[in-house]
Amino acid sequence: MPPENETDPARAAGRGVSRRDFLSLAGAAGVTLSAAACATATVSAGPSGDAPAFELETDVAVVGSGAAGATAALYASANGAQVIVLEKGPVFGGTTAKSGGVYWIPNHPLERAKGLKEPREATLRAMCRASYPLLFAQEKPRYGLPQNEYELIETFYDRGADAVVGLEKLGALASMSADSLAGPMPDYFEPPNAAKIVDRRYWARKSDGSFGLGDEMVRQLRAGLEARKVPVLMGHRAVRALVNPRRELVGLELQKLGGATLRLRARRGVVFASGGFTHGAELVRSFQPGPVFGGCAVPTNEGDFVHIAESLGAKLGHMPSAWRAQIVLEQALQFSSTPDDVFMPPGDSMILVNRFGRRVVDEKSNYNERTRIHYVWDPVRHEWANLLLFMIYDERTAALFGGRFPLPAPGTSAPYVISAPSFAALGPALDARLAELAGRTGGVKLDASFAQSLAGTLKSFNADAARGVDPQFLRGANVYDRDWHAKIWSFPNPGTKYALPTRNVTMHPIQATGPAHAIILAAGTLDTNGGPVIDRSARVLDAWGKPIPGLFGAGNCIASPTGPYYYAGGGTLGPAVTFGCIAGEGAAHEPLKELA
Amino acid sequence: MSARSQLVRRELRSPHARGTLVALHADGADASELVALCAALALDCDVVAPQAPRARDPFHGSAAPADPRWRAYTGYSWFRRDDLGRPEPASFGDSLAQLESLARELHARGGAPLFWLGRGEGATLALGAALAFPELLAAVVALAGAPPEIPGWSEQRVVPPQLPMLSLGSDYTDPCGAADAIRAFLQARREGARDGRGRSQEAGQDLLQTHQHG
Repeated sequence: MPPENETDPARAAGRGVSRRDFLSLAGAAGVTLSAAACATATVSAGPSGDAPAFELETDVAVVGSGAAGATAALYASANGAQVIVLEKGPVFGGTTAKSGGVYWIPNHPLERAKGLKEPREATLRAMCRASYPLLFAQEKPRYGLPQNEYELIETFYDRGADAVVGLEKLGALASMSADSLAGPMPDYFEPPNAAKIVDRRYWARKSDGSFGLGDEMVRQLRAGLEARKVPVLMGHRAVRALVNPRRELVGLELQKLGGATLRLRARRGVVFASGGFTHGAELVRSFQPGPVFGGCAVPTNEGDFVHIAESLGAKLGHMPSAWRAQIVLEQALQFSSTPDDVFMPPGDSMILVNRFGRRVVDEKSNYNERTRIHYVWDPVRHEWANLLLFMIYDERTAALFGGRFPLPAPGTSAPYVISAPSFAALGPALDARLAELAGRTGGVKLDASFAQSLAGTLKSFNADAARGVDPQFLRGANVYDRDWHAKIWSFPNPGTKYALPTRNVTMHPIQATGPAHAIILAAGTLDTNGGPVIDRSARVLDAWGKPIPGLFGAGNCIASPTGPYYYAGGGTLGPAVTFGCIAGEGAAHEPLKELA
Repeated sequence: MSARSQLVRRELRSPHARGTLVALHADGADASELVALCAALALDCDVVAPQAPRARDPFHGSAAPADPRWRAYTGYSWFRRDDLGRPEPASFGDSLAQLESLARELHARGGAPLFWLGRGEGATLALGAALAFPELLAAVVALAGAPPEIPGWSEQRVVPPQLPMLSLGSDYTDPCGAADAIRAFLQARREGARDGRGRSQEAGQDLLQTHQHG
């Protein structure tokens, strides 16, 4: 989304705050690279045999400093290569540094230490089914998946634990089970009533034994790089691939914050781990299945690698995919990177409805899957039927769960909360707010049937909540819904007059009387996860499926090795670390590339 | 279309308000942090205490508030920082734009003059506001916070000399202890606005350093 306040007359007069100026100072170009702008440049020895000029020279260059990039750099260094890390923005750690820092890893020794035996085939089967439900066939070889898709999942399963344990051995990341927070939590593909929860989530362990989030993960990885004397160049953006006459990648053209251009020679290889294209507006418009109103990826994630890899003939995959989450529309419209995501709408006396006043989804289903409901197309009205969803709740939920984003804590108010004296009066209040936002939403209004329909929806939800069942959307029927609601996203405030529901912890009747409240939600991303396709060795493949010499990829900048499916908390960082490790090792062992 | 500020906030309205005190909390605190200090100032002002946009615990308080495991992740933060401790421009710019929208809303509802009080990162933002939209501010008090250093932006701006500013030392950790000095400064500014005086330096306690900007 373009910054909203750029048309303000105060900006035109040179006063006030220009968010676009700040974005460019933060390394986000606003103008994405195009394939033409970053066509490869061929370098070779000059006529007299002189080597062409490079300002920097190394064995392996790593683009990006998040979990995937830092891991790749550590493993490349540990395998004997000289390494340079390039970070486009002014802050080390990419989106990992902002994140919860959880990485999902199957069959980790810490899992076995708890006495849990990982059934390899059963877990692999569940992963394949979750990633590619249409292709999955239990009786077929590779469960019906194409060779590369299967190998990526299998490699993730087989190498993930080694990658994480290896980081600990390198002194670069100490891990502990993330079940230390609230006990074992279910994977997102867990069967509805799994008897025993196997928690495969890990996060950083601090020296005092306590857990750390993404900031701590990144701090440890960076300390590991410093201990190995791997230089990290901040404010350096890769803008062009440099190839030799044999079309082997031999280096990068870089642009420093502020504009200077320089050339880096990478004798063995380049690992891209530069994040997705959430903030590349043109790529989002071209490839995503519907509007993306924002995302929490750092603002430098503009899809640079898509264009650079295209110039090298790379094959793209999963471009319509993303790690999705709902976001608060009005907040997303005003922030370059959303401060928070609605991982699960908090509250029990709370529902999501569309502009027709109807529920459309299990409000407690996982964020990646739930957000896809926004992309339902209405062919008759020619519109996204669920472009915006309205999170509707009562005073009970406001008091009992206030402070769990996006509910404001008791005693505070939030401008994005639309309140009315009664549920009947909520429609006009919502319509007034939608009219203010029309310029950014394609003019979405409530349907004329909204008030009547909402009354019916509330009546039927309340009857279901009293019985503790949701026959239409199965809210609370899954162990995921119940556990993540009760233990994490809807942790109740102490000292209110309200008691938690007993039949179905996720559902409580909504109060008949007001005040009534609504928050407008829209589709966002943690980041996109489509891009150039890699093989099981993290080598980027060309359109014919052959590795592009010297080019490796990991993290959210590549086509997700697990497809569009988010296995569990840590479903982004687990593959990022695993394939970061493989990419770093692979690049370190690449043959030296000659310039001539 | 003017954007509505999206910051969560605490507000205390005063029946005889002559202006608004905008209180910006420090990193790791929340909108409540400076409310007691504002009340102690007894300035006949409305108090608006916006909350930084980003929860440091992305799980949003998914445990009892006193749970010691979350000590490092309590409260909210305004912006990220680079290796040198300087504000990261995009997140700083987002928060500053939110505060500008808030200032315009407060002016539009008759809340002027606006006295800005910030602590820590909140002070850095209050000083950033003085650089970015000084015409919307009547005075700035910065507690234990450095001016924003953002290469390419901050060095190109100066605070207009007529904007009164009071900066307290960076070793200052108990904001309520400063109430007397802040009250004296702001009361003088309110009177000074009437008789045309600019900033003054009468706060002579060892604790206080009045910075000249611009």
